[in-house]
Amino acid sequence: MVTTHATDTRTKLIRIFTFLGGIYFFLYFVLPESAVASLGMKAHHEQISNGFIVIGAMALGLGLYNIVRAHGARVVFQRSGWFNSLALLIGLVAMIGATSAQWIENLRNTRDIRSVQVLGEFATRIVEDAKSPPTDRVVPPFAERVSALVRYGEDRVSLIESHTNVSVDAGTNGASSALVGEVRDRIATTRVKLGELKTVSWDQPSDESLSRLTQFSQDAAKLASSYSIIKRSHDAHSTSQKVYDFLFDGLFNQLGSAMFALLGVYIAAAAYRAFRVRTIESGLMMTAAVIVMLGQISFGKEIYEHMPSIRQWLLEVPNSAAFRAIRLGAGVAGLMLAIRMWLSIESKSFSSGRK
Amino acid sequence: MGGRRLIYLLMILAVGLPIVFGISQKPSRLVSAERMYDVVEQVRAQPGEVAMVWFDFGPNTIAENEPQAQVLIEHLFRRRIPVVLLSQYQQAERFLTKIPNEVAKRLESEMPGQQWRYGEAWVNAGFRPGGSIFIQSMVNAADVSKFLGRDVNGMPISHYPNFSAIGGVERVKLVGEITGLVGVFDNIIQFFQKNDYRPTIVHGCTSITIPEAYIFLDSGQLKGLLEGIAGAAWYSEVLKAHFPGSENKELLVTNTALSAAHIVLILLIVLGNIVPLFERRRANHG
Repeated sequence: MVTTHATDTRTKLIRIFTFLGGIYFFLYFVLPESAVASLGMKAHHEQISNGFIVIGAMALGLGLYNIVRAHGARVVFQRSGWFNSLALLIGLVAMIGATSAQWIENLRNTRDIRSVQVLGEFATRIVEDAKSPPTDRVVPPFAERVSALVRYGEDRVSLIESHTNVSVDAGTNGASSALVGEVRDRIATTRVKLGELKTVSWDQPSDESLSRLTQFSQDAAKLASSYSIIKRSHDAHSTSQKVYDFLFDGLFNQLGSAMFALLGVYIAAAAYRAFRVRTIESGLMMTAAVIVMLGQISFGKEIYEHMPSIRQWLLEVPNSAAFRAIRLGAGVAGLMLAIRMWLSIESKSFSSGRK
Repeated sequence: MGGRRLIYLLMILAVGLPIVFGISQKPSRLVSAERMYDVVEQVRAQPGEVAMVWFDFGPNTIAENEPQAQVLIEHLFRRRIPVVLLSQYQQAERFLTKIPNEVAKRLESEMPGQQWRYGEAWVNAGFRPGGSIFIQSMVNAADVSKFLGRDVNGMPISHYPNFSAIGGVERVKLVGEITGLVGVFDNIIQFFQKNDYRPTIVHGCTSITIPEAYIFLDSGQLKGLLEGIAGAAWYSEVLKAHFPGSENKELLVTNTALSAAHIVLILLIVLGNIVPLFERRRANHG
């Protein structure tokens, strides 16, 4: 009795949320922009849409759970086909592991690159604050900020140098020697600029000091740009990337392509065995198919000069007319299905079959 | 059984021989690909304006979709139009990284001294779940860079100078959709628009979806179309005519192999209709 009550409540909740979700997007799509804004929908649309995207993304987790549950049980109890399930689970774990390792490495690299990009941005901010002191926040004295900039700059330049040397020692690790040379030139320039910043008195901002800081900011931005490329090139030859490449390019890509390529062979067999001209309609269909194929291939023009033009006409006129009719019919059917789903009268799980 | 094996062998030879011996023929002229070339050529991107290209394909259709993606990206790179790459299809993630990198390397070796770098020539916004809801939200966002947030490396997209302030979707000057999936293509056609904005959409489709794509080309919702490998091959020829350094020999060989397979297919259809006739006649005489 309690279970039935809980099921009824859940069914009602699902129906209510389905209806509200459907009516929201329907109204947002059909109402004029002014009406959408006055109802307050425009202001919150991005957040609401993101909410729906998050719910949709949950399906991935649900799918993952179902795969592990269904195939895990088959492996554990050694049911028929358990070996295929094991292969699937190993593939799943290997791909998740490789992708996660690559993702973590990517984030680490991004953090390093970002820490270098901050250098130029910091210099720019010091100049901006010196020109028009901020009123909404307290900033340390000018000299103190420049001193911090120099210290941080030296630290980052050393980091880039060590990473660049690693790339050179490992045979540039994918980064071209020109790129390594470019990074080294920029390191040298930035070091010189940092040295110059140390020699200037920074008690009060002057035009000359601000100009030097601006110049330093531009040099630091160039260094960060080159560094990001060398870092990504290095990343492309990391172990996690190699494992990912092997799994995706070496296995998944090839198996996926092979599966699709089999279609070509089946179509050839079907063309010989089943494409028989027995009626006028099938004759028309075969003629159209042959013309479209000949019009698209390299040899078609050599058979008949106007073959591509005839193909074009077939696709633009009779084909478009037929496909529009099909799409129109499918569209009306889709609309009916959507209305039935919106009102929760389509799915059996909402209504019958439970009681 | 024997007949089927012979058919399989014929297909393998038709596809394999041109690839093994590197035989290439000039592809057939396709008007839809020429229209697409003209459309990309006419794009005038002011600073801050971008092209947005969706790679919505996986390993199963790379034979057709990858060459299409390559020629479109090559053309956009040659024209120095900043490209935002993204996908509605999770299996495309790898190609979002690989294809622009390869094209950039090829162009850099063709034109020493010139550079196409990540963050300047293109950004990779990665796989975006949500399909039509995601597109509707992006179209209505005040700033596309902020809406997309971070790139695939976790870096804020607004941090890259060419993509720092794209602004509203009106600043997307060209939308490219490379896919063999009709559903994701429909998402772009239906939802990548708003009251006062209709984007210029170009599309690369697989051969099987050409008939469906033509209705949008005919209505003007699509401005250009790459029809399977043949479309990419002709686009590549047009590119070569305008940029003599551009060459994609592999694509032409693949297209020739496919053409040979089509010829075999046509012969099989003809044989499939003639042989039973002879057999019936022989049986009647017997």
